[in-house]
Amino acid sequence: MRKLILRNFQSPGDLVMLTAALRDLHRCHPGSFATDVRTSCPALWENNPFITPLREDDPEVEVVKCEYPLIHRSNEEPWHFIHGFMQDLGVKVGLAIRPAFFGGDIYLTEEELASPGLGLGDLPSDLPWWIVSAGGKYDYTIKWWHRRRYQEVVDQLQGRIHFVQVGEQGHYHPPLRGVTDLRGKTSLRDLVRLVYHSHGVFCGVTVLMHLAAALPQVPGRPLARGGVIIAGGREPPHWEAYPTHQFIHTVGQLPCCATGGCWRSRTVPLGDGEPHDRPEHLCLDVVGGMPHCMEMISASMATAAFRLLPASS
Amino acid sequence: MGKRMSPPAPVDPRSSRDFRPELYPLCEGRPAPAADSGDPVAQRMLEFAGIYYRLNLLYTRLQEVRLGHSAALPAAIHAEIGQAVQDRDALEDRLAPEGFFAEAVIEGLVTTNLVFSHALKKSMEPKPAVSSSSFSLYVPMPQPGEDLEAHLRRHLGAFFDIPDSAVPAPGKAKRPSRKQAAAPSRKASRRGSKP
Repeated sequence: MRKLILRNFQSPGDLVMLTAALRDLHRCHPGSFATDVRTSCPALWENNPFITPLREDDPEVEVVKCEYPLIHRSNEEPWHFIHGFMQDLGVKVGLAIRPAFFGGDIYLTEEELASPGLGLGDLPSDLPWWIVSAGGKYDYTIKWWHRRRYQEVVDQLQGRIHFVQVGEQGHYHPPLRGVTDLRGKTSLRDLVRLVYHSHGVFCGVTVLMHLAAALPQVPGRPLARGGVIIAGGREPPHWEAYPTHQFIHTVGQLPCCATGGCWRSRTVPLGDGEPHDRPEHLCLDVVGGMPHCMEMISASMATAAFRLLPASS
Repeated sequence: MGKRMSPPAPVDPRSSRDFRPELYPLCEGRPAPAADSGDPVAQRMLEFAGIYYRLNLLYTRLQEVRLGHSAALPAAIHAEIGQAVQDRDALEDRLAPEGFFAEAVIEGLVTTNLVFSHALKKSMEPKPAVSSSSFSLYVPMPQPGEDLEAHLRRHLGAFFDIPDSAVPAPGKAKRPSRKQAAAPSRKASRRGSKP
């Protein structure tokens, strides 16, 4: 049996995709590997049955740096993010790995499965509740939709859906009215648990959408967990979107994303010395302070997307 | 902050003769930055502080009218409040692309403090002090079933290899020699002890 330690220190959304690669390595080659991970998000690996504690100084252990170079072909070839780590890992271990499920692989404890925690007992019992993230990290501000549009959607769906707002402290998450405010109050593990119990997620291209697809559905709910994703033109939809989500994108509608995602980082430079400020990483078409592709997505378009999802009714 | 979104120089109400300091909000729990600061973050903070000061003044005036302490017309104050709210919204929208946002902490009718979100916040926060008397050690998690003491001895050998004779008897404080206390074993230093 080969012993592998998978290494990656990217963001939580990336690591949700790595959980899929680990699962499918074992499903395609059962009994062939003992595996462990070194990542920036241990919370995503809790209770994972494919983890065996391994030591890097064990001479039998192979340490694999996990990457997804496939992303560089994502505008030309029809691959999803889920293939990214999988293909790279397959090449590095010399075996074919195919996805067995369209989503990551996250495991919850009995306690986590029983309730969302965080004192959310006060949520309206007669309404489905969704998680909303109205901002994000400062490295990819181009993914942000305007907070007033998020607010419009929340207002338009009042009485039909209750929203729980989340966001990491230190990131940009302006407050919304008429929501349960959990900004700065959730650990990554809390977020996993919340997403599991929610009826859906309303956000840009973030870890939330990957968690929503990765987590199993609550027993008794017949349909998939919903997702309304405000994506614009940064990523090609086939790379990011999940089939049960409403993924609102503009690829093919503007010159800067005419044939694929622009893959740029920021709407305007922030002066923080990060490479994301370089001209080649800045939005080419800013309208009203937003990337044109995000500006094209109105609040009513997002509200209409909710109406297409049974999970919101 | 980016050059594209350089704000106009904000008007500092503190230079006004009828300035009411109790209505001027704190910024991150501290007095607002100096008006002559050339720092773009400070300039943006002052813009928000100025507009919330204006709102505080107007709400206070409205309250005074309601209590009969002022002869001003409530409708006029309402119109001014409407304009100030519009100006605040416009400021928020202007700075939204760079993620600069002020969240008001309100007590009663008055905004007493502003908590800001912006890209440089993390780099401006005080760093934890690094003390020369502290150090950290890397110890990997033990394997299931592994003897914990043996595991710790393997990774923290230098601290376990102090001979019993070096441990002072109760009431007889004796420092271990520098060599005993400080020199890590070769094994421990290879395994990643960090200064």
